[in-house]
Amino acid sequence: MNDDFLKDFREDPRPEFARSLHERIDAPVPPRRTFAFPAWKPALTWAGGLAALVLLFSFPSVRATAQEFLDLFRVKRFIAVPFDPARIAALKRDGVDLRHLLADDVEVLKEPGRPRQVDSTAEAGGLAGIRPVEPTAIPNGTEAPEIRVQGEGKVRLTADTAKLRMLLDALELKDVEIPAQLDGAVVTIDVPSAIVMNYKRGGDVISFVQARSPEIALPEGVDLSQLGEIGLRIAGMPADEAASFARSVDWHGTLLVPVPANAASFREINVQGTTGLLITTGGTGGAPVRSGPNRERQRSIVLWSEDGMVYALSGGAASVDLVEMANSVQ
Amino acid sequence: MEWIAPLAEPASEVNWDAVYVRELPRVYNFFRYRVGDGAVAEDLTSTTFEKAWRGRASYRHDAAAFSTWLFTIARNVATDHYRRQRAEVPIEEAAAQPSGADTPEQEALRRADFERLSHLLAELPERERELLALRYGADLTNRAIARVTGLSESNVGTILHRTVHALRARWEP
Repeated sequence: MNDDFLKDFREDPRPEFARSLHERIDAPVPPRRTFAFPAWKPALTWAGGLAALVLLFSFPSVRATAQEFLDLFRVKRFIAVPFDPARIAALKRDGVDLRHLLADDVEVLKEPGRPRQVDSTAEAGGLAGIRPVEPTAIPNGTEAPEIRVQGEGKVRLTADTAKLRMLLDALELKDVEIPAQLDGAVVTIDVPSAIVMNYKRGGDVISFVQARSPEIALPEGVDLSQLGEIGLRIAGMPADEAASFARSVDWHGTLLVPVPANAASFREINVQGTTGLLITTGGTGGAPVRSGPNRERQRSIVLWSEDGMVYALSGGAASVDLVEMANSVQ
Repeated sequence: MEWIAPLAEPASEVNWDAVYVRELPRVYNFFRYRVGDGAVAEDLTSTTFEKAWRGRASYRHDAAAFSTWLFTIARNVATDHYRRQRAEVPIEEAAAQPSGADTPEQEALRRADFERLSHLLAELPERERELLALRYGADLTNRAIARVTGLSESNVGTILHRTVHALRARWEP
């Protein structure tokens, strides 16, 4: 194919343009904002590992969306923790009730109710009691979002460590110690109202969720690091690495996100100057193959937190599109 | 922390200065072929790099993935531009800056030729013009174009072949 006539017109940008643009984009990035833990409530803590366990297994509305790692998941930072799905499946076959791992008796203090559809982000913000934001970079072919508001939910549970002990035994984690203070501890979980914006794009939906970080109130004296370490061991991390990892994590502000080790990849990303988490399934992180025999259903989720809010973007879009959307939120 | 290896890829850090030097002419020429010559191409190039640079930390170990992402942004920037403009860039802008390497006569001839090509490109459907801009402006391979656009590599090749064939017939009647 003679296409020389098309190649001849490439030219270098003007040197002054190249130089000024480089100077502009290479300016130092503003320092990452830090978030102060609310010291006014010593009993109120954000528990990473425990939050993952409790919320995944004990709170119905969260269970419903846990497969998308989405919705009301929390705190200041997200860290992915690979787990072996076969390990969980084996536990279920053995009759281990993972849904009530910490407590049989879960008291619903406030029922979130059914999501309510609204006409605008402003209306959603009013209902949820937050200043709503939205992505400004939307992939081509995306429809205007359908907006829903999920009400606030609050539950209280009393921890019973006997079942947790059974689980650890079933996993042959006999060396793992459960903090004595946990048994009988009353844990209150408050999940604030959330705005869910669903963007339809062809046969896929991209969901953007924003909410205040939930509050998990624990009795004083419960060793969060120890609880986090238990969560890591249950996920399959070797004892020495779990201990080392647990020591390095700020358990007051870190949520572990369980990721199937054989079905997803993940990495830390920068979202508007904060550290976010990108999880991708069904592809390699580039643009999905949209047609032909190799068509694959790539799904990605971007999780990040800023200024006491948690955000999640997920859907069947290329991860690059989701990251771009996340960085355009304002 | 081997256990969470996906978080700690062993690859070395990307040299962003080198990436800038390599990608700037490609993005710039993508826009020249996509929207025309002149200040608009520079503006859209700036917008693309400003957006990409804000999120570049996500690709600190993977320059290839960054390049794909960069052109994904560039495509969206071009689409936004057309959404706002709903009109082609005035051809008068086409002779805005001399490239500096040729004599004035050669430069004038070259500008006139690119102006003529721009007219032909502007008459193409959006998809065809975008693929030509990615192939001949940005100098991407068909495989890279497939990654950026989501089309299959063979589909990219077929569309480009058909479009170039038709375009050449009009270029050299």
